[in-house]
Amino acid sequence: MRTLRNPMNTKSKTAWVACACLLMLSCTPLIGNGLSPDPVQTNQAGKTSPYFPLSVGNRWRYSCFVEGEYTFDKTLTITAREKRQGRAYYRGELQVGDDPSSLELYYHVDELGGVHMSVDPMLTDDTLLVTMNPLPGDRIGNLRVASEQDVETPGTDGIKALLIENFSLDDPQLHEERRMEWEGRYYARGIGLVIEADGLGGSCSLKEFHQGTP
Amino acid sequence: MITSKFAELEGANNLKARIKEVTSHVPFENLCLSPQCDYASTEEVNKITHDDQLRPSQLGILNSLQHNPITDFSTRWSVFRRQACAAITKEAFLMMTLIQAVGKGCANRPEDVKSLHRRLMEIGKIPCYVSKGTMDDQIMKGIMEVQKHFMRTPDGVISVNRTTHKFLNNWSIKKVSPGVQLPGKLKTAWDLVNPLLPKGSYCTSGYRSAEHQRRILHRFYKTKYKAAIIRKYGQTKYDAALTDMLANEDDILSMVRGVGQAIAKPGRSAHQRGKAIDVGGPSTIDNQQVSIIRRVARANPSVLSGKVIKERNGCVHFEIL
Repeated sequence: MRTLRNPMNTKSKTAWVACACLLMLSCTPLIGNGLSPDPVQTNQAGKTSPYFPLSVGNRWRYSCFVEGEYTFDKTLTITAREKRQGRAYYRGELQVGDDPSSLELYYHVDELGGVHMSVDPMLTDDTLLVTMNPLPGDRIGNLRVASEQDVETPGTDGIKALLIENFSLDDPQLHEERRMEWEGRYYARGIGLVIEADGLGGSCSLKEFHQGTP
Repeated sequence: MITSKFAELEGANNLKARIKEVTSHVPFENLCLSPQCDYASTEEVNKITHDDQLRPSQLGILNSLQHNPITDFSTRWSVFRRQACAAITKEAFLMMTLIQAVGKGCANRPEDVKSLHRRLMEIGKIPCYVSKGTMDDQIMKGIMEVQKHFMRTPDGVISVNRTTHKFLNNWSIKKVSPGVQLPGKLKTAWDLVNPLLPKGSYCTSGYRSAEHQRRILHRFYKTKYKAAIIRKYGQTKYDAALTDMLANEDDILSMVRGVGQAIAKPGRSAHQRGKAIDVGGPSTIDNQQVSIIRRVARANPSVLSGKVIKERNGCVHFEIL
């Protein structure tokens, strides 16, 4: 298991390059893992958004807080890569707190490299999480790409992450009740979701990221 | 609110009563206390003398209103007060420059004292009056009032370019976003912190009712996480909780948390207990906000709890006792 810390620092540049290589390998046609190439994962560009690396074994562990009070840890693990009805997807398991049961989540990559998530294995209700090359002002579902910011989490201090939010909070005239409806997610290249937060003071921050074997 | 059409003064109590009356119709933060422009006559010509026009007693009204909780709440009030004070004392409000320290046991150069006096008048810590440049009880009291914001034991001394001097020069009243409620001790805490915060800060949240939280919890349950909850807990359990959401609130909370959403139980968060304030502003001033609030907390341990955190939604959150 490798916890990402200061991935942009010179000190860990080697680790970062290695990570990028692993990511590139994970996005190339799947020659070495025994699975046959499929039309989705080997889309025209053969790419997946760098803001949500998908490989079996990838594991993100988050610590969640409300108004600074620890609430629970949650862990998302990519457990399998499967194919159903001609569509390839990654199966994930979300485990929250001490709850032994987990929630299955399904991820797939569209033709343009965008990553979608669904709780339905038939992928009927998928939500676009992040696009291949999100730029400030882009719409992603009902969210909007804001800007790249410096963020720190228990697992990744001092990294750049892209904020995707439903509306901007940067307005003193915003009514307090509207502010409570805010939601935002920070994605970092090569890591994925590093922080998710809401207007009620709830947030989950990345504690550990384990890169699976492509 | 303040007319210039008649010689009679409104009186502080009348003004307070009128402000209270108006705030039952319009939010206080949307009000502006302003005298009517000029002394323009009606057709009949108003019987107002030159002395009436100067209205020195108006000063007394301004000074008495200064400590009224519903008037010193407003940024607009401080602007109005500054204008009125400047007009009456004929003093121009400039940056407070000090050549030597002022206050208890200091050199107290007349120009320095005048500069300090102007600043203290401007920020409303002393009444409006003309200073001769000598240190007096009012000015001394004003220094102590300022220092109470960030010093547990005010020393009554302002050294050149040191903390009190810097805070005084940067002193400004920050805005409160619409809908924010700051009852009781929250207001006291905000008033202590407010003028010291860096420019660009504003209050984004104070007391929130349990209903606010409940509405969002229910929305999470019925829309955002509906599919995930049904997937994890089953349609039957989902529907059962839906039949009486209030009675089944613990189940609903548990299921929303169970799919990964960190959320407090309605009525339990610090905001809902009337114990927390959030401060917004550009992320570049977050650390400065935290540092100032911690300082105020150390100086006022009976008001602020000392818990100050940077939230992931861009706010700095602090709590009161």
